[in-house]
Amino acid sequence: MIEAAALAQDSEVGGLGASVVVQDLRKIYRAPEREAGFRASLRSLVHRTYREVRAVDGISFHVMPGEVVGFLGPNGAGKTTTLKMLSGLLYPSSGAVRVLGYQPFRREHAFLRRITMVMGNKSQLQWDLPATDFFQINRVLYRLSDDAFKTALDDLIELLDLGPLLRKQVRSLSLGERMKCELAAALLYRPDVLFLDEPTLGLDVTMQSRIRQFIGDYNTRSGATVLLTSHYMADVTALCRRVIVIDHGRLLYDGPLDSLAERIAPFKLIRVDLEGGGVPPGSERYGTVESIDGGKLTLRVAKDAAPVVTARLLAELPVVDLTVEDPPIESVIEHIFRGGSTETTVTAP
Amino acid sequence: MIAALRIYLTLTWSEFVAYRAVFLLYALWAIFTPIIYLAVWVTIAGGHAVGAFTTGDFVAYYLTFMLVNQFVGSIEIHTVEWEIRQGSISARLLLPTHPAIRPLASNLSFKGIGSFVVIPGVFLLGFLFHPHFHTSPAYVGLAVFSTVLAALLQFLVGISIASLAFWITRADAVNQLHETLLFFLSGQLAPLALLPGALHQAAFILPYRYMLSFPVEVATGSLSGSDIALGFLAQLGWLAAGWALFQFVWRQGVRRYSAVGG
Repeated sequence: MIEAAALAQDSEVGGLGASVVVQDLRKIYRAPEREAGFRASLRSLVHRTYREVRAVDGISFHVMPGEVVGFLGPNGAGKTTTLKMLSGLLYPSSGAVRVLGYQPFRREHAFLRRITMVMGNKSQLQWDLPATDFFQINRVLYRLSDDAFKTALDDLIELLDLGPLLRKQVRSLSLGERMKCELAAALLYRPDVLFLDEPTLGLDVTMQSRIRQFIGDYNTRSGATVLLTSHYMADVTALCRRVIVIDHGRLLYDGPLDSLAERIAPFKLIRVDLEGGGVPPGSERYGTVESIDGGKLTLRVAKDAAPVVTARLLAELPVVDLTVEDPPIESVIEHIFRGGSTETTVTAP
Repeated sequence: MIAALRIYLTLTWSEFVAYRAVFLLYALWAIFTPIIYLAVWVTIAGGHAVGAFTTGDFVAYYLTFMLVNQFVGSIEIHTVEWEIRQGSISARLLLPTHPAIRPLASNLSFKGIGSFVVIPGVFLLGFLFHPHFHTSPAYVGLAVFSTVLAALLQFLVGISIASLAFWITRADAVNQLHETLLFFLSGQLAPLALLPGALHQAAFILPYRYMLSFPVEVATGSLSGSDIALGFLAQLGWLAAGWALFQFVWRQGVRRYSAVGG
């Protein structure tokens, strides 16, 4: 494992004025591995073999105060590992990371009082106690005055409709109710930077929408910086103007959500309106048929092949109208989540 | 830090109260285990003395043992080790207070609740079995102080062993070894004065005596003034070593922490 000596010093880290600065950040694990079976298990007793896992492999970006940035990529891409390094849970193997000017892995209390991390798959609440007890802990740990605590809690009770939940044992809350309490506990002390790792995981559509609305409102009112990972494209499209896409620990795209399709999608959609109101058989030779509706044919073709296919369609079919489009953002994100992002690194902060 | 400890004490007390039946069972175990050792030694004594111990001395020793043990035991290997292994320690690492404050509060609450059963149990057994104490209020005062030091030492060693889970997946295996040594060398199996030569000497050098037996020996009045002074020196020395061990293991462990996907 690369050690702390490789971490950059303060003077080497740029990103002036940014809330989050990441430079050439890496996290490399040594994971033990062995073949299946009894013999292999015996052999592993005396001779262990390890595989190097490059969970995060040299990514750089910065996030300005008040930005909401979506962190996208398929499972295992390195999103959660990056968020853990940003929050101070993991020690980077090399590179530099600064959040609000702090080195997160030092976990200074002054830093921890200004950030929060919510993990949709991990509860931070105490299962055997009502959420209100946990809020009291945060009141003390984050040194909130009685007035500040009451004001913040009253706000959160109203915004998240927490009233009926406060005195219930956490274990008896539904998933959505628990997530509302998690968010309330995480935001009681009004952190300046929010790391949200799948905050809507497993919630129904209505609850997802409420949580999303709440995060957006919090960002607008407090000017907090938000880094969000989510597998729900609605979260990303509703909250993030900017997205960062990583896969296999490497940064594939950093830029506006609107341009994501143009820059990263490996395909184009060609919509053709044909004369006579019908589509002749064999249209799949031009590309993947997305839909046929009367005389309207929609094809998905590789980006590079689009000009050639367009020329062929115009030459070979009775085309009335033809448009070439980037795919909708939803399908691009879905494509990324399926692990299908293929283009090389594109950075456009 | 004091405010954090206070709020965590409230929290962990409430948590433990939620499991009353578990506590009753634990307290009964804390009472019955020393009674078994006591019964064995009283049977061996058969109305005569074993070494310097009469039947009344054995009763005094094991009743005091029961009381001290209630206040020095460590539960961190079961709580902190589990949190590290499951990754649930992540949430606490992100709070602006030392992550060991909550286990400390949990430890104190656990002892506090258990004492509601153990203390009356000890007095009832004392009434029934007529212990023979050679003690004085000064010895009792010193024993209380020594019990606090022993509790801190056990806490530090317990949380250090639990912190090995940052490196190895099953730190409880190391704890098995620790508990075995604690069983033999802390005066559980027999008062240390009854251990044979080399074992007796080892028990006085190793930290286990200062985790449990020493306060019992002070409380029962079986030590001279110079033995007590030496004992306190050794206990403070081991406490300093325990603190250094905890600092080292915890800092290195947290740095190594790598809860992939956890």
